[in-house]
Amino acid sequence: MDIMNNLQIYNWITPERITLLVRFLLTLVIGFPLIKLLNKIIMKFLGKYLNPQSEMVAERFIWYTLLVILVVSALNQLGFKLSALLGAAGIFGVAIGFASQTSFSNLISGMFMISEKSFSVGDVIKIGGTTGIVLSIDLLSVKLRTFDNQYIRIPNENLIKSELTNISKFPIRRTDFEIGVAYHSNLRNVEKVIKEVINDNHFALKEPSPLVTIVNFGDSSINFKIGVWATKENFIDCSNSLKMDLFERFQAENIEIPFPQRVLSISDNDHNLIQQALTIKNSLKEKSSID
Amino acid sequence: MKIFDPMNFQENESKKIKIHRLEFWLRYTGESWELSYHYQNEYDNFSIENNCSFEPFKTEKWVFSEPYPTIFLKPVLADKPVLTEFKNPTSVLAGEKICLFEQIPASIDIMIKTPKKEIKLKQLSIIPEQLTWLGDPLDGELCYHDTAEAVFNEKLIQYQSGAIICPIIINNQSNHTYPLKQLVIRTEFLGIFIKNNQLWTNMMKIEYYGDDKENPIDILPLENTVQLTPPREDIRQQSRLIKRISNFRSFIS
Repeated sequence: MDIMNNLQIYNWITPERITLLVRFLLTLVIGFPLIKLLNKIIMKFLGKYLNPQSEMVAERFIWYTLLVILVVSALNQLGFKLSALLGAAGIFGVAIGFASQTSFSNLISGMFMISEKSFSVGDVIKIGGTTGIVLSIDLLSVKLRTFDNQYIRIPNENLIKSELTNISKFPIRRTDFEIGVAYHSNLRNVEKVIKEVINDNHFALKEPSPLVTIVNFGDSSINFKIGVWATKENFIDCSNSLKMDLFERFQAENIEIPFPQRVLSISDNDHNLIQQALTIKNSLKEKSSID
Repeated sequence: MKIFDPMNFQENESKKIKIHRLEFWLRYTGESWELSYHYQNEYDNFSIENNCSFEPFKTEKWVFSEPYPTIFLKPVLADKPVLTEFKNPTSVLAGEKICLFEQIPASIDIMIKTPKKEIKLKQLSIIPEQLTWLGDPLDGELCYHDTAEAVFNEKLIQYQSGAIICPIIINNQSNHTYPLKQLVIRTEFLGIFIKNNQLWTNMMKIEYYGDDKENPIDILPLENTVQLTPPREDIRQQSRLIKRISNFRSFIS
């Protein structure tokens, strides 16, 4: 049997087949470093025009395209018919396609997102209830690190469908908050004090000018809206220190920040009713003490 | 100027130095330098107080393997452009050429001298720095804000300790009045000089033809002066920056 098998192998190994095999191996051996070099050259050229994120995606795309071309060329050397291969790939592709619709959706969404440049690695984004720093933008998903150090993977499809806020897109931001003062306050003095506090704040930008305006006459207080610009790096420090400074300064200037309150007006009829209720209450008290 | 002369410290010696609103303490322990500083509400002249107690406000410490008892102060311009708002806005009439003198706050580099080189320990501004934004919120530039009085006669300058006088020539070659409310001093292109025991920068010369035209700006050397600090960036060698600086709007807004 062994002799028969050996004979079959020897019959199969013909000089033509050895030539084909050598050509196949040569294509791979020469082609592999060649496509690596080609990829490097293309990326060196494209790198001038792309940001690091797009560069990473483009590099992967070009690499896999070149690799497919190389493998197809190598198989062609072995005598595989490309049309048959593509036909088989087509059938295989349909099967794979049905099985991986979500992945393709994410892939296409990823392509659109990268071309849109809504955010890049290092930006702080908010999507739904999640806020975090972008760690990477990949073909299928975006990875975030939240401020309490959780790793979150968001599929690209979700990002394309949802409203996304890029918190750190622009170099400066405005911190907005409201503060209420009592109705008996001298409003012009309050405005002056708020402006002085903003002016003295180390993190607040002088320009664009801060906003100090009365927004409404609330149930318990007159409410001022304050909007102060700060660099995105100083944003939280600015917001925090301003609130502390304002609180301290209001206390020093005797400007009251009122608690929620209700004013009760008592008419004569209500007064009589209260008197009756008090009489009943006192009589009940006396009775209980005698018992 | 005496304040910028090297100072030799004995072991465990402290000195208190006041420049404008900045008050700081330096202590040398033999193997380390300690610095503590704060800003006063009112400004003061230059003063050095020897053998005083070290007040721990914001304290920093630098440790060395070798003893380096010599320290000196070096005046430098702020690390960002300074946007100065004039207390009394002035207009430059069409066809007029004026020279204004503006004082901007200096920063101080605290340097130690080693046998091989000079090492910067810390840079401190002589006043607390106030940030502002120049230009569009989308792509403007972060600057320091300052309020100053524009003086148009050199003899009328009331020099404040620690300030640097910046002489600026504006030649209004347009056919309309130019309102001068604020001015941006691009500190990176200016050097510091000593003239009459005062700190000066290079002279800036602005030819104004109109907002929609090219308005060339020259940085000129000061005559009869001693250069103390060279500019951080050489304007002649940086074509990209020349384009940026040649925009008159980046100087006056």
